[in-house]
Amino acid sequence: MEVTTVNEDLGRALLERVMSIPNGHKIKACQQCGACSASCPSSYAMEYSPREIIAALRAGVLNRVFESSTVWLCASCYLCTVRCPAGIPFTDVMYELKAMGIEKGLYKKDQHNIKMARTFTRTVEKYGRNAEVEMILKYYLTTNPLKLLGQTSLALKLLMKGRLDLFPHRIKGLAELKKMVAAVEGGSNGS
Amino acid sequence: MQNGEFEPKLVGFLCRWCSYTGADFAGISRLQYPPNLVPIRVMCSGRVDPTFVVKALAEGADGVLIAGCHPGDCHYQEGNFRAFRRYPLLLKMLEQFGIEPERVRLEWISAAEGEKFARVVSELTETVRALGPLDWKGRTAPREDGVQQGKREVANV
Amino acid sequence: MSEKIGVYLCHCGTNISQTVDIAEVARFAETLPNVAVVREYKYMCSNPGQEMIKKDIRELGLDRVVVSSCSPLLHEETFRAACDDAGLNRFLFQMSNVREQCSWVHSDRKKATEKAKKLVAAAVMRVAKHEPLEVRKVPVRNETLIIGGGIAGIEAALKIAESGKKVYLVERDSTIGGHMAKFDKTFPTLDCAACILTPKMVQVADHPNVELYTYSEVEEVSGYVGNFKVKVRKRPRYVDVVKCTACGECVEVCPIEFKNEFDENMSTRKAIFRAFPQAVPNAFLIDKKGKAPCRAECPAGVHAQGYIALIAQRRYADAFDLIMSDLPLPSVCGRVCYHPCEERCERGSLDEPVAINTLKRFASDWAAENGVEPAPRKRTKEGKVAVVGGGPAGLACANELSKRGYAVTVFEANEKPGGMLRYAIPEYRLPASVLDRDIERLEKLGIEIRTSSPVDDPEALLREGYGGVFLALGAQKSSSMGIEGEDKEGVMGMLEFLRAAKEKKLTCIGWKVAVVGGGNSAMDAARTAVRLGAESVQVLYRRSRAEMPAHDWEVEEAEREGVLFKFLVSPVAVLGDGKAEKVKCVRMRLGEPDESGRRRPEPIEGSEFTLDADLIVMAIGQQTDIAGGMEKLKRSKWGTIEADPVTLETNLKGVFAGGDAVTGAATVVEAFAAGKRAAESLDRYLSGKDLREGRDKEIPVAPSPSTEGVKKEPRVREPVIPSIDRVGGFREITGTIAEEDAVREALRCLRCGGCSECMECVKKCEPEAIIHDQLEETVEIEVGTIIVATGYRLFDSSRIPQYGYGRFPDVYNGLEFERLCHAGGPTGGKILTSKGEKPEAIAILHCVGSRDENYLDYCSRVCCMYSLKFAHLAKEKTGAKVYNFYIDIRAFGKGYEEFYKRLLNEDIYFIRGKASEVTAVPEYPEEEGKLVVVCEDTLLGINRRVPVDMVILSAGMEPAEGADELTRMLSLSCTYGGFFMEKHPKLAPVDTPTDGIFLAGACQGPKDIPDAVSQGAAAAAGALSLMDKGVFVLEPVTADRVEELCSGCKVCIANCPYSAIEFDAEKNVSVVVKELCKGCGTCVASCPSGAAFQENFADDQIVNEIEGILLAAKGA
Repeated sequence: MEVTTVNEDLGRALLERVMSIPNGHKIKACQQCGACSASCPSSYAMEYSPREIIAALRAGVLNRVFESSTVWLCASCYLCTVRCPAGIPFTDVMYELKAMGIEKGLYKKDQHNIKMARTFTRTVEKYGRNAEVEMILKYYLTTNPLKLLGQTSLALKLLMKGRLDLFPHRIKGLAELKKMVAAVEGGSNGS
Repeated sequence: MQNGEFEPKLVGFLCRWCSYTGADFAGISRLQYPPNLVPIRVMCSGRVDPTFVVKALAEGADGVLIAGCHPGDCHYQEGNFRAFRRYPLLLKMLEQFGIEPERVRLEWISAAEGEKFARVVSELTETVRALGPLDWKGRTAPREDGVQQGKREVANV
Repeated sequence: MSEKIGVYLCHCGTNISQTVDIAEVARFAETLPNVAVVREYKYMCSNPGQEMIKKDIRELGLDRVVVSSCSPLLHEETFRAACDDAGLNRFLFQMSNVREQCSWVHSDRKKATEKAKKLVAAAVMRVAKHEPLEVRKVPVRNETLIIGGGIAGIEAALKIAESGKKVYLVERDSTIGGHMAKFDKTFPTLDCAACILTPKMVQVADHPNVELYTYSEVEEVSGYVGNFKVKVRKRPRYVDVVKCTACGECVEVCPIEFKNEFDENMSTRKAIFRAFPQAVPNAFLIDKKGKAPCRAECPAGVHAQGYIALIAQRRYADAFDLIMSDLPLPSVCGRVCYHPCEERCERGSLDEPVAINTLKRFASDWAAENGVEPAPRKRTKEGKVAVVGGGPAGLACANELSKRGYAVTVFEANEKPGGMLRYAIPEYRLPASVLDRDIERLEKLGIEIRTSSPVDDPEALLREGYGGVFLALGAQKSSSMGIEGEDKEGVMGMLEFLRAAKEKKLTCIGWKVAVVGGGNSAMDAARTAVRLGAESVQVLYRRSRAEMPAHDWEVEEAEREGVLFKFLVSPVAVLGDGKAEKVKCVRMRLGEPDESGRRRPEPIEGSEFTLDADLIVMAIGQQTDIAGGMEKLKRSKWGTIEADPVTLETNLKGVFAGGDAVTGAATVVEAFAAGKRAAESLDRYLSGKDLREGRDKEIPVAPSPSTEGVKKEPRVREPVIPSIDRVGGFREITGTIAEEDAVREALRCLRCGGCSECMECVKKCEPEAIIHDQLEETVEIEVGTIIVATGYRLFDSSRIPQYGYGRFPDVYNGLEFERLCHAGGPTGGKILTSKGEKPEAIAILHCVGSRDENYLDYCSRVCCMYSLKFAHLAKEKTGAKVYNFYIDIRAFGKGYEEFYKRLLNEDIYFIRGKASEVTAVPEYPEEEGKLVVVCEDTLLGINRRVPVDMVILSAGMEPAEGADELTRMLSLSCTYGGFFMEKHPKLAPVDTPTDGIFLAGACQGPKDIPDAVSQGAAAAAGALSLMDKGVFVLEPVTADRVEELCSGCKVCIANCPYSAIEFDAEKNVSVVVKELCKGCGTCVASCPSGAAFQENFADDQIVNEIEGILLAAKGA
């Protein structure tokens, strides 16, 4: 059996923070029914199901929460949130956990999901939208350049169908978008 | 008033059927709320004579809660509607005295809504705390220039 | 005077003392005015505590008491009684609530103590102003109303009835028994629900002290404890419960089928039905939504939906019989009626109205062709009746009276009977052979028709021995215009023209015809002229086409046949040398609307013109032409006979009149209606009954039926001969539809009325229990106590879309599965899928709707156990694999855990996890054609897909429909989910805050049968103890007036919700009627002069309370 560490103080602090998001306190009422996990389209790839993440978070078993892939695999489809009988805002909780993981440096250094998320954010900041080719190039260059080769046949197929732009496009009004992002981030920093 | 923080003094008029029972229910459920409000039991929110509210404010209360049954649920059919009709007039009068209408609150709280009772008391306490002490005498006294004070003071936020 | 107040502070164990510093409160209380003694004690409510108070009252001479403890709602009575005991008036007492509203809700000891001081100060200040008061006692009646006849209501009813007191048991459904009657087995003992329930149902119905109102609802409750006044609305069953022997013969012949609600809509039942074979009362009822709109619209009230339903079942003879009982001349009516019924037909809002008249013609012609005669009539009545006039009104009256068993003789002045039908309706619309056929049938039924027998004096008939006379003389004379040259040869009245044409007395060589008028008879005349071979036919009408009274289709047909129309034209003179040659006309324009709402035509000056015409037919109306000898009859200024519109009585006793002779020219079906109305009057007259009483009281028209899922389908078209072939002769234009078309058309009927009123059940019912015209009834009862036992409704599983309820036929809710298991259910107790197959795997989903923030927050308590029961039954009956998907198993009752263990040993699969969805989309080969339940097996931490053939949703419980209205009616409160709130969750679980009203069963919260039964018995005990005592003590909280202060402004009168305040005009003061005052105090608050006061809630008492609170606050 795996050895788990329970960090009560940090665990409590993180739990408080998750519970402070709107409806976040509802994780206290989790019945561990599993409707979230069975509804989740990505749960097949998760090490722990969303239900188990809630249990681990409440128990302070933080390595399961932050060092597993689960929170990073959330596709934000909201099906769990819609179906949860306890009204837990799962998707929002997942975002909060991602943010906390990064802030407190709780993730494993070789967790590529975070790099993917970062690369994505930066691309969006630069162009106002996703630029697939540039994002994928940067992601693999920072993680495992060799794997990039494996993606070429898929890229070619997408290119043939006109589903892939080789050159990134900037959106109109990028400056306004940046202002909006800055306002939101400034707001959240201020609180 | 230890720690220098202002503790509002609040009086609550609770109808015997719904709101007083709701307040009891909050107790049975051990819900916690600030101790600033002291309840007075009346048979119906329709019994609450506006002069009671004025009396309470004049005697030193900083805020008042009137609570009755939900519309349609009144034990006396329509007493709560009477309370509801008097309420805006009362607020208007208080405003003319220069008293913030937020200090007097009318709420429908059913016998099952212990949680709501606790929430309303908490909210009213915080609202009045933010408004500061009422100072009835100061506000209602005639001004030196002889002009009746009538303007609502800008709250010091 | 200075009072001596005793203050008693309760610790309530540590409930109060752990948060409130009682010693400090005591020190504070000693400083309060008039306080003579302050004591504290661990439990003031205990005997020693009470003794302490009593002792002080006696020994220290206390005259006021304050107890600071728990909520007055809990122990006020305890301490008041103690005061009473010690000789102190019980109202010189005040309680302060430092437990529920202080120590339990605050944790800061200092602040809680401060609040406790304020509470005590308020009570001390208040009690100083208390005055001794007398309680009011009201008598309690010995009857109980029980609302809801489920198992809880039945139990309560039996307990009370057994004690010798009267019970009114009101049940909304047609049978008592509630949900339990639908169940197959009951958990955990698995005994058969019906076996234990039905004996109780019978027992309660048979009990002499129980008055059962089924199919009834409580409409209004007024009054108060001990003396409630209740209005109960009894919906009509249309079957006499006493006479009905429940033989079920009626069901066989009923043509209408509906979904069977008792089987959760999984089977069908007839419009006449009973919920289930052991229903109590065991009598049938008819599902009538109201009067079908087609019948409501028909002047003669013909049972159209009835014969349509019978035609749909290919029961043409029965259909014909029904028509004959409504109409004397069915084939005639099927041809010439203008069928207002079809305009009201609800099918018209979906596609096209049902071809009602065409169907009537079909049934009538079918009967004639197949030699089917209507049911023979028996002469059952003594009297004989004379009908004067053999037209439609006269024959309708004769037919109706003969049906009712009278001997009838019709006197007809002409050589042949039929009236206008014979002489004014052209052959192409109504062949004489058809009329003859219908009339001959009447004669065969025993109606005597004497032709060429004009009657001059109706009273002479009475003298001859006829018990009554009906005058149906008709309107025999064409109106004339009174224009110049109208007397010239070649000018004819419409009636004379049509009659001459019909009798073939007219031969035409190249007429130029002008028909004056725009009504239906003008169209008849014009179209007849075309057929006679006229060179040209013109219709002259003084208004425009839009104002024409003729039916649109008539005008269209006439146009198609070559008739020309000249609108806004009026003849002013007929020109010609002895014979008509030309018509001089003037053009008209439309002015302001007249009384009839049509725009009045006005001549345009100088617009005269002439047109050629050698035959001019004046079709501008008919008049009554009443022969001499009838002069004793009172007439109107228009020359019509004056008759009472309801009874059709004339000024001559025993003589009734109706039809065109009374109303002026009208339609055939209106004439039929008049004849039937006369028959009703004559029947009443001859049997000595009141002519008016209870007449024309009719059941309301049915609401629009749902057209959901009804496919659009075109209306049947009658075969029609092309217009080109028509004009050469008088062949009938339309034909009768074919049998298959008729059946198809009849099936288009939406059955608005529910029951079709085909009267087949009436024919079958030997005990004559069926009352088709039964009306709703309101009964008023008076009771002392009320028990509410309205039960629950099952959560609607279709609200959870991912479970597919309502989408997948094999997803069932709990009640549906109960019916599938039940031997009396749709499958006879076999558990079969919608395809009729035995399931190989069954999934049972727990907590459907329950324990879910999105639906029902609460646990419905029964679902775990009924799921286990289902699992057992499913396993036992099918051998299928049974999966339970659960979150927690709650097996809390007696024998429940044991039952769970038994199931665990029965190889039932238990998967811990809430199903996330039920899908029919396969991902693996073994899932083909199955329903797949998707869930996380939370014990294994893996997602699972379980393919099954059947899914059962263990849906939760919600309050019954209509609980809201009852809440208002009875001033009840609701707790979570809308269940009725009990007075105290532990100590008074069947009482309500309203005295005299008790709760039993699932209306108070989800519960199983044993708990519902226990509550039924407990509520009965509550009601009995009140009634046995016979009196109820009312709080003295009523309002009153200080007369000298009252200014007579009447503001309080407007404010009183109970109209308990009267105005004494003499003294100019308002006066409270104490018996009506309920003590809300609203009037007191509204009194501008301070004259009004309320006992025990007086202004000075409340003001003192305020002062007490704020005085203590200042001191802090």
